[in-house]
Amino acid sequence: MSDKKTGFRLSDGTTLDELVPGNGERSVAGRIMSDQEVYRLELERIFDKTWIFVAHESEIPEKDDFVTRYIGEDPVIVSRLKDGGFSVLLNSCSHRGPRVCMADRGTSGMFRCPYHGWVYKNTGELFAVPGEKTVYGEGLCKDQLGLKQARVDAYHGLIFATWNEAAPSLKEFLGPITVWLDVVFGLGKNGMKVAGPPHRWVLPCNWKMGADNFNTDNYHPLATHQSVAEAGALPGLDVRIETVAGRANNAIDVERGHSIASFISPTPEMPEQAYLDIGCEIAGVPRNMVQELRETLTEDQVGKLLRSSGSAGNVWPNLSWIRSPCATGEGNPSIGALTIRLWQPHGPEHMEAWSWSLLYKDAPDDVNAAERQALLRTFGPSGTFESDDAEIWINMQKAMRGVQGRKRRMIYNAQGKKNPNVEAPLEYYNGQISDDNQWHFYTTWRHAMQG
Amino acid sequence: MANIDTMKLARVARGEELYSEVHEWLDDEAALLDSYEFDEWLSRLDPAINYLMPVRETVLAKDGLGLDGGYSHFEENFGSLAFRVKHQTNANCWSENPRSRCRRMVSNVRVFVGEGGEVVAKSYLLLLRSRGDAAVPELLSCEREDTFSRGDQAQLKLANRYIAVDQATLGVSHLLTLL
Repeated sequence: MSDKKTGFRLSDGTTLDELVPGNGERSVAGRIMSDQEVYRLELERIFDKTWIFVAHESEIPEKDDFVTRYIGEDPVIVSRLKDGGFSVLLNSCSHRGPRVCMADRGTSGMFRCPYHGWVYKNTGELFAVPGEKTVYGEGLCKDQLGLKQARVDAYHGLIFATWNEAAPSLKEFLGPITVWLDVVFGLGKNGMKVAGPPHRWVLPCNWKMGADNFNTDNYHPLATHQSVAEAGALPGLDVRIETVAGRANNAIDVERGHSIASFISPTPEMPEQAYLDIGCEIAGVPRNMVQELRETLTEDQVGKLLRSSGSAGNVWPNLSWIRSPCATGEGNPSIGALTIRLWQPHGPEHMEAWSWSLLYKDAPDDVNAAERQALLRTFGPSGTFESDDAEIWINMQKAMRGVQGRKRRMIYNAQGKKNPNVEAPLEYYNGQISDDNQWHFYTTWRHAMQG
Repeated sequence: MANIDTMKLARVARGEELYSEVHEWLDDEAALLDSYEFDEWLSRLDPAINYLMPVRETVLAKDGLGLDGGYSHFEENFGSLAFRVKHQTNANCWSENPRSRCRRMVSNVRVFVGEGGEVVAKSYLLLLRSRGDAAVPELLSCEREDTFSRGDQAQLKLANRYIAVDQATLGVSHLLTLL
C-alpha cells in the first residue's frame, strides 16, 4: 500500500518509507524515537488500536478488586467482576472527565467522581447522578453515559484490553507464538502470581528502546553487561559473542511482531530425558512441580521449556519478559526468575517502565522469596542488569533529537539464516545472532502506522 | 511510618551523648556513600543486616500507607549489598561510570532506645543526584528507620534499615544508589 493511499505523511512531507523503508533496506530513522508527531500517531494507530497488556489477574484476585493502569496515555480501571471476569473502563467521568478513581489499587464495586458526584459501577454502568431531576429536568439517558468500556481478555493470567471493536480476538492477536508463551507463562495447574505491585520508574527515552532490546538483542550482553559478568552475576555463563550465538534461538511472528529469543541450546552433555529437569532448574520452576510437568507436557513442550528457560521476548507492542538465572552475591542462591515488563509510553522522549516479579502459585514460600529477591536485585530500577541497559537507551535518546540525530539510521542488517522447517508466519533462527527479531518489530510498526 | 511502633521506645533527647553518636554515624554514612567509599561503609554494617525498601503505592487513606504490597526495590542482605558494591564500582558499569554526583541530605533525626536496649533512629533522607550534563538533579525523598547493634569495639553497626520512599513512580533513571 502506498503512503499516498494510507495518508501517512508527516507535516513536513516525510513519508513512512523515509522512517522505516519497505524496500528491504533494514534501517530505521532516529526521528521515530524523538518526534512528537510520530508519537501522536503511535498513540492513535498502535496503542488505541491493538491489544495492550494492563494487569496480571493475580493483582485483582477477589471480587471488586481493582488496579489503575494506562492504554497508551489513557487512564483505565481494571476490575475483577462478581462473575470472576474483568472489566477495563476509561478512568474518566462521562460528564466532565476527571479520573473517577485515584488509587493505584483497592477494592470497590463503585467509583464516584469527585467533581459532581456521579457514581459508576465497576461494570461501567452510570448508577447515580446527584440531583438528576433538579439539574437535568427530565433526567439523563443514564444508560448511554456509562464509563467507556474496552474489550478485555486474558491469556495465562495476562490481562489485555483494547478499544478496537474490529480487532481480532486476543487469541488470534497472539497467534502461533503462544506455543512459546505456554512454556513461559502457562506452567503448572495453578499458574502464576505477582510478588506484589510493579516497580515503576521514569526513563528519559522513547518506549521503543525497551521493546527493541527485549525483542531480543542477543548481541548486547558482552558489552552492555560486562560489569555484571565481571562481578560474577552469571556463574557458569559465558557471554562471549561466539558462545552466545551458539546458544541463541529466535522465534518471530513476522506478521504480528511478537518474538522470543532464548539463550539456551541443548548440548550433548544434556541428555534428552534430562531437558525438563535442566530447563526447570534454569527457569526457576520449583522442584515440586517437575513431576506434574513430566506428566502433562508434550515432548515438544519440554524442548521449548528448556530453550526458553533463559529467554526474553516481546508481545507487540510493549509487553516484554525475561526469564533468567540470577546470582546476587555470597550467601544468596543462584536461582531462575521471571519478570514481565511494560514500556509505558509517556511522550516521545520519556517512558515509564513497569516491572513485575512473577512467581509460581505452587512453589514453596522459601523458593518464591529467593526468586523475588534475586529478580529485584537483577531487573527493575535497582537491578544490576537493567541499570546498564537503561543508561544506554538514555544515551541513544540524547543522540536522536538533533538534526543529524533525527536523520541518522539505526541499522538492523545482521540477517540470519531461517530454519526452513518452520511454517509462516513464524520464523526461527537457530544458533546465530541476528537482527531479525528486532527488525520485524519495526516492520510491524511500519504496518501499524499505515493506519 | 509504622514499621516500628515508637510508642514502645524511649526517646533519646537531642543533646544526649547517644543522640550525638547516632547522628554523627548517619552523617558519616552519607559522606561515605556520597564519596563512593563503599568498603568503609560495608565495614559499618552488621553482617546480619536486613535492608528493605518496599514499593510505594498510592492507595485510599483507609487502605494504609501503600507500603505493604509485597514487592520491593531493595530486599538485601550483606552478601547482596557487597555484590551491588562490586558491580557499581566496576569500570564497565555504564550507569555509574561516569559516576553520579550524590548528596544525601540527612535530617529530622530522632533517636530511641528499645526495650531490649537496641538503638533505633528515624531520619529523613533527601537524595539529590546530579548525572551527566543534566542541569536539574534527580530527586528521591524517603524516611529511614534504622536499628543498630554494637560491634566488638562497641561501635554502632547498622543491623536493620527500612526505607519508606515517597514516590510511587521513581523519578530516578536507576536506583543502584544506596539510600
